[in-house]
Amino acid sequence: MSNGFRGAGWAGLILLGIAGCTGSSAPATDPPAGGAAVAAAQCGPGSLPETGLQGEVPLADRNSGRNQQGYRCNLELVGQYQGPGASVVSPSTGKCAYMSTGGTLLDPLQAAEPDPGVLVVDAGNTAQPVLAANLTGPSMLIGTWESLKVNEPRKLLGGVAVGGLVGAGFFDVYDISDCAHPAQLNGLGGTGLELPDNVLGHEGNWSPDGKTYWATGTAAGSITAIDVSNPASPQIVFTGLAGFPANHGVELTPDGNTLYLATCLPGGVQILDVSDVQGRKAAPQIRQIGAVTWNQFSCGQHALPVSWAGKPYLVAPDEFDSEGIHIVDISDPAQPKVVKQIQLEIQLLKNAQLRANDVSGDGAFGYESHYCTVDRVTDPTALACGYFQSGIRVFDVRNPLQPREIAYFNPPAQTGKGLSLQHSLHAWIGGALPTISDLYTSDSGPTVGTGSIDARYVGDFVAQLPSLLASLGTGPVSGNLSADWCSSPPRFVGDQLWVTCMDNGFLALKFTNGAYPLQ
Amino acid sequence: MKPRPLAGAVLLLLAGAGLALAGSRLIAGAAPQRPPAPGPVDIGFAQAMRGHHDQAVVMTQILLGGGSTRLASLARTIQTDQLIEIGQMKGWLLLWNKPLLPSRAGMDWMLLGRTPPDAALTRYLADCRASSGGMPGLASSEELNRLRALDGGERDRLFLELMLRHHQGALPMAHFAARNAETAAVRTLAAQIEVQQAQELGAMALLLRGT
Repeated sequence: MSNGFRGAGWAGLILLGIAGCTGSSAPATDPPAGGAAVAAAQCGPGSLPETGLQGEVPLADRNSGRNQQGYRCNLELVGQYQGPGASVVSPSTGKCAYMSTGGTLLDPLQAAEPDPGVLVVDAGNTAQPVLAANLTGPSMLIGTWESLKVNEPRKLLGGVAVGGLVGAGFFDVYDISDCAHPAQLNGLGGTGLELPDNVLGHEGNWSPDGKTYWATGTAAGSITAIDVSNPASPQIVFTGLAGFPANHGVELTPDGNTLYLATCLPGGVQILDVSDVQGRKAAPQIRQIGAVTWNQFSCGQHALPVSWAGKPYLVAPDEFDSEGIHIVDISDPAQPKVVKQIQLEIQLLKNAQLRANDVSGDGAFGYESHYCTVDRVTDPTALACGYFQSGIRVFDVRNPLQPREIAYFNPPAQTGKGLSLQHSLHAWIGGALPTISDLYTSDSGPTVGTGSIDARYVGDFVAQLPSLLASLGTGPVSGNLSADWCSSPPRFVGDQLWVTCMDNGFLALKFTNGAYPLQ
Repeated sequence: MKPRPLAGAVLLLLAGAGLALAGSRLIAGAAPQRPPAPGPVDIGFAQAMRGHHDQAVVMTQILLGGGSTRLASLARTIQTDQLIEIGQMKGWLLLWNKPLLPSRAGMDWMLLGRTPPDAALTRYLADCRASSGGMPGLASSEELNRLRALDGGERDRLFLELMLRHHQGALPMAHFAARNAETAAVRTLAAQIEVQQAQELGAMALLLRGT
């Protein structure tokens, strides 16, 4: 996520078609025109479609309780492990999922739970996922926010301590060769991250070779590269970038030499040359190859490198301002160019007031995209994204300039269950905050100025503050929990999608009506 | 404090005052009516010095983050000064619509002065090219990790050694920009950095002798 306080988690199309997944011609790179929602899914039998706009959980549904049935289209639930809920990013690998927690700094009572920390879910029996273990390294207990990530080649799970928003000094790394029973490889004594010198996390990710873990913080700009060549004794190889734009999600090229850093305020992506770090130069420096921004008031979440027809692109969800997802042409990395913006109908600028009315009382994040996954990085056919309030959305992206939605699953609202969802950052504090993600400037483009912030934002924000006490739901800090926050990256597993939502926990979903695989 | 370091400190203060006066004259004589557009020296200096400062801040964070040190006051001064200066340089680059980080290694902007490079500058640029980080004086990852691992007097000594080298690497950059940047604000800051770091160099050299 991006952070709300930062960090939570941010078109006209020229339809030169690429011929499906094996197309030989690259998509054109004409600038997006904006203003149109992505084509809606055609929901087949067994669906329980949305009742309002695309992506919306209408206020009427939130008031009537209809939201507690959820909404689904060409995706159905196969199995679930809800447990105590989960935090912002919870990954999965093999037959396992790792459910992060908001952590002991936000909720000290978690330390007294029978199974504190990160929960390991064994979904070998997809219909009945079970709790297999819990991880209690310091980062796992304190809360990993958006930093809990898997490196597949080396079978490592890593995360930094974040707690309330930006943590310092802890990094845990686990061997997940047996994914259901991870073994911690580093101890505090051998980790070499002396406290509290290095502000680490909020977000993080592995280099593809699994030998470097990159941790970013959103306070004053900070980025730290940790050498995990020897997982028993991780060492810092670079830390710095004071004053750089608030650093957010990290993705890298397969060789680990180029880092795509999503940024907040402005929302965008920085393309950085990190070859000094990857090559372990003695005094490594980071250089800036190129950058693109799309909204001064939004917050890029992460930027996933993919390619269509041999041409490189980034898929970059944004967690503020209902910006949705940007597709960025990086064939000239010095001049990256947004070629498509994917917005749900509820995210369009004209629906700003409707959004504000719907999400009031449901926490810091409105209808925002967060983490996306593709079914494959070369010529991807499908893009699956987790959203705050709008559930899991899946798009046909065989032509990235003409995406269309093919399925969605917005799980049932867990209204009234805040007290049993202590690990959910949504149910624990996040849901009680006023909406901060939406300044109603989406579609305004990179030249938007403060004068164009809709005046309603100020009034709505102020109006929410006193109403918070009146809408706290059953928990002391839960908000009304009227729509879940599905901020984790979904994962394609055959004809299923596995994902973790904050309130509903781990979900195994199955495509129906032939929606996927795409023919 | 022992008599000799005290006398040295007084001398340093006097020297610092003299340097500051010289710096202010240098700046006052060149202040234009309207600020000209930034040139490659202005941009190169802001990007390179921002990065150079970055590591000094990290070193002070390590020292001030825990353990015992006799250098807390010095480290706080360096950290405060350099963070403020990072903010200044970041602000300029944002207003100029230029990247905060350079796009490639090297200090080619120091070839673009008002006069061809003299022997000292040529030697400095050769040192830049030979340095791992593209700038002389930077501490290596290994040295920083050693600093993290130590405590007390040993850590203080290493901090002084690393910071001395770091300042020495920055001085030629500041000296060059104070005389060759297009905009008065850049020349002013560069002169201030030159003066301030020269003073700190002297103080650290004395402190190192006493550790």
